[in-house]
Amino acid sequence: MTQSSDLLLEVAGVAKSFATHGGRRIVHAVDGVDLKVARGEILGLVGESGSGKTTLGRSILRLLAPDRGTVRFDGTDVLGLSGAQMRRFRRRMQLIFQDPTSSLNPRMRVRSLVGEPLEVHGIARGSRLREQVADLLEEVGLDAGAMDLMPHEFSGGQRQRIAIARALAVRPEFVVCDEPVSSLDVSVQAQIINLLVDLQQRHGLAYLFIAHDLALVSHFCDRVVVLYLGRVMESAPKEVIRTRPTHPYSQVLYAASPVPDPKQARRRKALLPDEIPSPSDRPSGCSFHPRCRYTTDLCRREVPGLRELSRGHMVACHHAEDLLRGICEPSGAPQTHNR
Amino acid sequence: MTTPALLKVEDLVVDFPRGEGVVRAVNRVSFQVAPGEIVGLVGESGSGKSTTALALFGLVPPPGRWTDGTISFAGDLLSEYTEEQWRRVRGAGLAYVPQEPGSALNPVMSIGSQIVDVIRAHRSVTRREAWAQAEAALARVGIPDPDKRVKEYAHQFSGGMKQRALIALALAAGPRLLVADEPTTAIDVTLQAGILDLLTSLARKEGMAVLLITHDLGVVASVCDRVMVMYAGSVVEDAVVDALFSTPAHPYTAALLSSMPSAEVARGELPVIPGQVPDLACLPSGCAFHPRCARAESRCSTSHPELRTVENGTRVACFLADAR
Repeated sequence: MTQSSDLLLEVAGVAKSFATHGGRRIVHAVDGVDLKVARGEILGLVGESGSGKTTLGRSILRLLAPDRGTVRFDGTDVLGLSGAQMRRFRRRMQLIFQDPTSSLNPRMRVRSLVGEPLEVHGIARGSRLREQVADLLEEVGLDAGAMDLMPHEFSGGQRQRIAIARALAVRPEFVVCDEPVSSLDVSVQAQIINLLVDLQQRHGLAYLFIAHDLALVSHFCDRVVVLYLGRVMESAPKEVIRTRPTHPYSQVLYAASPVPDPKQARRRKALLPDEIPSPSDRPSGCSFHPRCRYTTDLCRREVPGLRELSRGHMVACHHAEDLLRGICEPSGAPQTHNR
Repeated sequence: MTTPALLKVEDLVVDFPRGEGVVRAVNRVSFQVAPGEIVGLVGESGSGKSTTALALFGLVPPPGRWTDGTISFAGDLLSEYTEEQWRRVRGAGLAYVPQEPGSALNPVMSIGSQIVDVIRAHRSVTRREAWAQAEAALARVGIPDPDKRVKEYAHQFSGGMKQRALIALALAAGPRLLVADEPTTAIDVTLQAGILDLLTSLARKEGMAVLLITHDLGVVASVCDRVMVMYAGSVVEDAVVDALFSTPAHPYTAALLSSMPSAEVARGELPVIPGQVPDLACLPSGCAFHPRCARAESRCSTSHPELRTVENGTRVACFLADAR
């Protein structure tokens, strides 16, 4: 874990729910999440669809207003800022979207796409603006000739480079990367990943890296947070969770993840019943209990809190200590959750 | 291959007119699939893998055209089929599992009536029998409580269950070859494993042949017997799965495998394939991969390498792959 002086972002008890079905149902997309990001750290956020990854990322940036909780960024209470203060503050925290085809305005030239944040924040104008845009493009591996082109004239990988240049234009300290390579061709993904690492090292950036590809997270991140139905199940340094995932959900997630090696891959097993409970119809107690192999009465009754098992290794499971020691017996095959 | 092929594709060409010229989406593709075999077809966007699959069903979207080559299925030449014969072989001979389980099912028909429609289009059975068969089809793909679920609608099914229902729908008329187009791309990793196990058991226990189209090499490694790698409309490598992953013969396959992120590679030092996937309308001369290939020589830019057989029965389209 990190020393408090290095602490850049501290999220505590953040929750965000949405009304669906004309207000008859409440979806608890994020339900009381705590996390910390140090300066220059890459924190991976993994989980399945509906686990609340994207909602959490946007709540931290205040692109969504959380229902409760606090977000402290370098000592500033982000949720307490006024509108005008927030606009200025946005310079420090930026976002890279999954799909550059829809995140870039198709009617704007690259010059304006990358220059716009510089103008909005009053950082540069005129010839100075043009120079800075050219520098930014060069930094992300595009030549200055790209300036006068439109997004559709680029490939997916190049478009993501433009989106990265746009996010970095204002020299943020923290960037939420929401699945930044999952819409790209496999042969192009590695280029963008290397670029993100290069920029992170050059500018000492911190990333919240939202992903579902665990191999990528193991390569890229310092620490990993596993989210399930809006709650943190486990949080650990990358090496710890990769080699010893402790929460039963992390265990199946890592075991199910396909690896490009036939010998290892054939040992992979389907360990979970198909039905994921909906965040609007959350199971009692531990939200994972209907799909868990180790469920006991306690799990059905009480929500387990996050407990620190070793330095920086937090697990929200009643049986975490036994699981870590490998002395936990499966309570039988999980029941298929039918609704 | 000891078993005679169920599907045999030879020199398949699919062209799309664009402006004055044509875009060759599938360029002289040849391959076979045996009963009970799971063959992966991998490639990036624009590689021609989905167009190849659609051609097998005579469903190349216009203005695209199947301009050359033959497809034979169970000994019959599909190119000579009448529309009526096509209608019968689709579903009962070879069946298609589309991606995007969210949009492929009819939202206003129950799952059961969609399956019943398929059954009654191919077999003369009563409604009652067809409903019983629909229920059995859901049970066969591992959907619990099939008697209840058969009457439900797509929105009542989770993502993994929808994908299973789509497979049940494809299996309803008793096909011998299943063509599955990215069947696990839209669903979560914990559910992926269940779908892949289902496909494996259909092949192993029931002798179903499966052509699995995917961009995910992890999926290929876990279920396929053999893999074909496509690049810019051509098959560049066709190998047994273990050989492909341990000793990739084509530089593109090798580069793809080494560019996969993993914990073993230091951060920021992933080996990269430079450049991008080429536009099919202006393919590079010679080998389409040569501008991105670290091993390219002068002949690679002037002549097109044909597929040839090297060690382990691997077929590879590269001048530099040694005939070991």
